[in-house]
Amino acid sequence: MVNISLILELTKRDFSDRFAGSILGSIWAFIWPLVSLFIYIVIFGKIMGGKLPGTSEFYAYSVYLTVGLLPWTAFSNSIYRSTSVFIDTKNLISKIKLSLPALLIYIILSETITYVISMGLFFIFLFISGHPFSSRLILLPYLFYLQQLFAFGIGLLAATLTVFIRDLKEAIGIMLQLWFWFTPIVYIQDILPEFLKKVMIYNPAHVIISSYRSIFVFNDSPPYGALIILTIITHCIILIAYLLFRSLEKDVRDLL
Amino acid sequence: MIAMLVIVLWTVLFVITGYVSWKKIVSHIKVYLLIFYNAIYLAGVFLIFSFLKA
Repeated sequence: MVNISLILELTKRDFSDRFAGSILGSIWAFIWPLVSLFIYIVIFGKIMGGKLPGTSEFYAYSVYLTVGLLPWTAFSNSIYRSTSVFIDTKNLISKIKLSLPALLIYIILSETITYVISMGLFFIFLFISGHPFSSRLILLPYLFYLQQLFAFGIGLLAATLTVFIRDLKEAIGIMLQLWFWFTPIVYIQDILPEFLKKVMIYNPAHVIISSYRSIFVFNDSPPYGALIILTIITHCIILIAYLLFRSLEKDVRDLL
Repeated sequence: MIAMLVIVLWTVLFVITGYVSWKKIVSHIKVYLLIFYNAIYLAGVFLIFSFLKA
């Protein structure tokens, strides 16, 4: 059964355990994103002088970089940490009868908290720097919801298979590294060769990140058609992952 | 403003439908149903936006 209070408790513990025993405690949850934003905005934007072609805005590249990196970090961490969630919580699984797919939710929630804090700080920067806000910003939660659903689907597939093939966690880590550099996150799409530009429309991470950029950087409509197709693909992946999990659930519990 | 209102109504409709289905159905079909509802809901949100904000 889905135990909501248990998931919330696991989320709380996952978040507080990271800073357990430290003097500053949960303040570190704000320091980490603040330092990341400092790197993206000051180091890449100001000191290294990163510029975005076609825009005259001083912080355009910093904004471009940050709206790519913050969602990617939440997305990749959600997938990578989900991969070993059944193995990491095997003591809990053997003691309490609970729905295993629901265990992935606490990781997604924990990464969401980090993302919300980072985005909150980023919005403060945008506000101070006088960056124009688009009314399309109301799409932001839906974009994030879609990306985390996609991460959930991939994560559930990976978590189920990792119980049988332990090497999968390392393989997923490598795959995420390749995926990161294959997606225009730190660079612009224009520098890619023609054949890669054509392939890029099949990259789900690119669809999501280019949607964030349409809203934040280019003040334009996100690719709605691609987002609808991605929504359908995401739910198909979740469905396949759940069917696979259901067919292997007994073996998963036995092996754990 | 209109887009916002339509999205809120769309969300309320799916939250109620999802909640009632989840509570009333006991078997595993409710999970598949929830995935289906969620796909319709999210695709609908992007579709509403594309029509109202284009």
